[in-house]
Amino acid sequence: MPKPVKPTLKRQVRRALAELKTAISVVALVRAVLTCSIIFLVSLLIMQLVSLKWYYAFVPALPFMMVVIIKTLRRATLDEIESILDQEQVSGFRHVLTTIHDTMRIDNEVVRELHRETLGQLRRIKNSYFIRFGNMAGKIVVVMVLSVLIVGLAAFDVRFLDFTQTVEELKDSRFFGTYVLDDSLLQYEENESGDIYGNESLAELGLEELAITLSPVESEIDISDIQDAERRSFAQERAAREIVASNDASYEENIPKEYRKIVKFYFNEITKGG
Amino acid sequence: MEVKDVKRTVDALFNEMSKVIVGQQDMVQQLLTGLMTNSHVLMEGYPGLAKTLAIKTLAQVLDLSFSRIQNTPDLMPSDITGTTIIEESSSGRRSFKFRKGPVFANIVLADEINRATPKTQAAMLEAMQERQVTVGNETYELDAPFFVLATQNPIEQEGTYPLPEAQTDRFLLKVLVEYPTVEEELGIVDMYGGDTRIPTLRKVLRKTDLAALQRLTRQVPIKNDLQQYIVKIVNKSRNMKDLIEYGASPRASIGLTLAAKARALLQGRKYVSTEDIKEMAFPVLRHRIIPTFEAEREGLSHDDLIKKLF
Repeated sequence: MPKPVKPTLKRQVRRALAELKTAISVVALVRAVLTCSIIFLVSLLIMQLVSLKWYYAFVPALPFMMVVIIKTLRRATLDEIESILDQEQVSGFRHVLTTIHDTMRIDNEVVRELHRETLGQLRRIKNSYFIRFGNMAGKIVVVMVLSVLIVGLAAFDVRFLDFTQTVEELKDSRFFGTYVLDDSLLQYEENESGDIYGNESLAELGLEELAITLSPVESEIDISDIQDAERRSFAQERAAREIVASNDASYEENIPKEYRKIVKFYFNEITKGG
Repeated sequence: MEVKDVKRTVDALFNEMSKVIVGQQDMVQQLLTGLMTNSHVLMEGYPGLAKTLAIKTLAQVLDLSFSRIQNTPDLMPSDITGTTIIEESSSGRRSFKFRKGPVFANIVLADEINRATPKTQAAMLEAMQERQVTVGNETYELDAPFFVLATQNPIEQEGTYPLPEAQTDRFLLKVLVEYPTVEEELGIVDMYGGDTRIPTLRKVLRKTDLAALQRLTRQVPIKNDLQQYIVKIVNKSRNMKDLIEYGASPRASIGLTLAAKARALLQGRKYVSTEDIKEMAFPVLRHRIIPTFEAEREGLSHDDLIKKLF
């Protein structure tokens, strides 16, 4: 028969899990603060080099800092353990902790034994296991270097440019000034005549019904005059006299000047007859 | 038996069996998984790989009754379940008496189960599922624990009656028995090819201990996301229609959960890990999925399809 429930064991496990989570969160927060300090110092350095006030450093730094803190705190859960703990005695610990967390309401022999084992392992875990010393030392060094740089540059008044002055100069320059237009190019005349539409009377005529009568008396053509067909010779390969080709003036308009002579000569040749 | 005794007992079991079985650690582990989950196991492998020997050895190291059924096409259901006979007493009085068949044992070795006719297979499978046997109008309960450890040969398919999928589903695990390594085979030759006497095996696990072990196996905790992972794997087998024609049933989800718990306990852990699920997915699922023609044409085995479910 299974032994009766021992509430103290479960309570101990719950307390241990809470402490573990707090420890992880604190370490993660310290890491986040260091990262934010680096971001702020870099921003401050840039502001100093461009001669802006120190409080402008918060403008780019604040969004970065918020993102870093939120991301760090969100990741500061039991998942953090897997990436941090690589000591042999606590390998696979993440699985154990999440199993315990999910099965906290279950009480049986195996679960109780698991709790006992886990408590023993938790006692062996030190806060220093969560601290990545190399990474943290690196960040502290970076903070120190940036601080010294800022102080040094401020002491020697080193600047790359005066941001405010540069902006003023840019405003006065041609690139941002008023654009002067040549108004003569914009002059135009409004066409008030309807010439481009053609003769209005023809359009009106098109609407009327026309009755056309041919008067044979007044016409020069005698349609009753029928002659016999005559044989005609078309030996000469010449186009009919009624068909004439001449060079059109409109062709000259779009042709470059140096080619106009050639084109004119070309058209003259083809109209000579051949 | 307590939780802290489990690893020691399991190690003792392995050690005792290794006196007779050389290598084949996976096969032995999966046989034990079947025992711990109170489920049946189907073993498939070429002849001469110690399938039958492993089961007989297991029965020897456990304090359980054992019987063997050599399946042949002429085996009748009554040869398995038992039959009613007329018995005459000394006073000349005749009465009907039910003579129990070989299925009335704790461990039943069903050798070459695919050689038996479907009718005989059905009788065996009723016993496996219901843990009882019906003869005529009488129903007889089988003793607990009850395991059927069946074997089948992948070659010599002529004259066999392959188990339909609805019936292979009754087996928790389908174990593929592989050839031993060169070193293992040298050990086998050394042990069985010479004048060495096979040692007598001692009983390592009693019936009550086995019942406790089965209870502890079910008590192993499993976290929520791993349970969801199991259901996701089984569900995916039903939705991969381009490669799997018929996927596994919810019985597979239960089976995989129990098998993973058993494996965790065999490894000495008191929690289930992802590795347990991935390792046990193969024996649990390979006889429960039916590949499509396209998958067969591409030469994908059942295990290849299972790998795609992870």
